[in-house]
Amino acid sequence: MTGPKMTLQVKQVLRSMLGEPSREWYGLELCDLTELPAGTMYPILARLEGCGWLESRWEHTTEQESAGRPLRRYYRFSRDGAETARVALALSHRPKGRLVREAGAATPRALRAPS
Amino acid sequence: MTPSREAYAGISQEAPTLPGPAGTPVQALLDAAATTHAGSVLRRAYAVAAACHEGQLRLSGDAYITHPVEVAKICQNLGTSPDVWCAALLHDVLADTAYTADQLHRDFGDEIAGLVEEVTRLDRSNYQSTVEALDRAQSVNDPRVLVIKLADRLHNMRTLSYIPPVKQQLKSREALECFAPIARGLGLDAVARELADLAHQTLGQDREEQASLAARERASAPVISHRVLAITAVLLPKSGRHRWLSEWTAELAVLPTRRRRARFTIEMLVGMPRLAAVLRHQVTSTGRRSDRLLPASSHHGHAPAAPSNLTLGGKS
Repeated sequence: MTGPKMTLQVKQVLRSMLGEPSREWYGLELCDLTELPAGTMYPILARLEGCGWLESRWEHTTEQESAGRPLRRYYRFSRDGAETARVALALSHRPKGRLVREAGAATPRALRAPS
Repeated sequence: MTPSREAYAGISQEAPTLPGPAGTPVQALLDAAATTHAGSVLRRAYAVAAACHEGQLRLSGDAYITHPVEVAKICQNLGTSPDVWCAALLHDVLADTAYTADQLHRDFGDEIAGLVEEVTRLDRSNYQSTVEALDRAQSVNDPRVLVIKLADRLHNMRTLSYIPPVKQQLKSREALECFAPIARGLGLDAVARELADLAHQTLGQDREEQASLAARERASAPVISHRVLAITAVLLPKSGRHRWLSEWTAELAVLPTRRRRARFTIEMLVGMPRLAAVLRHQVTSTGRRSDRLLPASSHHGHAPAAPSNLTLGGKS
C-alpha cells in the first residue's frame, strides 16, 4: 500500500513520534506535543494507521482502572513503520523548488474533505 | 454542483409576487442576492416553495411560507451561502407537499436538492426520533444540514406559543437538551443562547431553578461534549464510529477545564468531515477495512462498552 501524502502536519506528527520510536502515545498527547488541533490529529492518525505505518490498541484495563478513567486508545509505529516513516521523511526533504514551507500553511488539498 | 441554467428553462426569472410591501422578510432576503445568478435561483426557490405551500397555514394563522422564509433569513444571518438559503426556503416541501425529490433535483440541481433531502431525513417530530434519524443519516457529510435544522428549530421556538402546551414542553426540552448543545458545538453561540432562553421561558423555570439548572449544566459539561461528538460522529462510517467515540471519551475525561473540553469538541467538529473522508476512502479502497479498527478482544483487550452518556435517546 502506498504511504500517506507527506503534508507538513503529517511530517510534524511523524517527527514527534520518531523522537521515541517505540513509545506508545494517545491522541491528546500527540496534540499537545505537536500543537496540532484534535480535528487535524485524528484524521492523520487514521490515515497513518490505514496505510500500516502505525498500529493502535486499547489500553489494558489494569492500566486504566488504576487511573480511573475510560479506556484510552494508544498508537505506536508498526514493525516496519518507524523505518518507513524515516525514509519517507528523508525523501520528502529533497529540494522541490518553490515548495510551500511556511509553518501553519493552509490545510493541504489532499486532507480536505471533499466539498 | 451548480445547476445549469437550462435546468431553469421554463420557470419565470421574474421575482414572484411577494406578500406584503418591500421591506418584508423575503424582500430583504432576495435583496441580499438580488443581482447575482444565485439571486435568480433564490427567487425561484421562493416561488416554488410559495406555490407548494399555497393554502397551508401555520398554527399562528400565518401563511405557511412565512416559516421557510424566516428559516432562510436565520441561515442568511448566520453567514451561510445562498445555496443554503434556497434549501432553507424549500426545507419542508418534500415532507409536506406533493413536490417530489425528482422535481427538486431537476429544478434546483443536486447541491440544493441534496441539502433539502438531508434536512427532510432529519426532520422527525421528537427528540428520540431525531436521534434515530441522525443515526440513520450516515451520509450526512455537511454541517450546513445541521445549520438549516437549527434555524428551523429556532423559528419554531420563536413561534412556540401557538402549539398545544404539552408539545411546547416537549419541544422546549428537545431544544435545551439536543439542539442548543449542537448549536454550541458548531460555534453558533447566539443560536444556542436564544434556544435555551426560549426553552426556559416555556418550561417556566424561575430564577432559582435556572441557576441550579445552570450549575447542573456546568457539571454535565463533559456529557454535553460527548453528546455533540456523538451526534456529529454520524458522519463517520458506522463500523468505525464506536471506536472513535470511545477514544474521545477517554481524551475528554482527562481534560481539566470546561474550556479545554469545549475546544477539543469544536476542533473535532471541524475535523469530523475530514476524518469521515479518510475512513470512507479506506473502506472503499480495501473493502471493509475499517472493521479492523474495531478492537478484536482476543488480541487487544476488549472494546470499552459504549459509555452510557453516549446514549442519545430517551432521558439521560
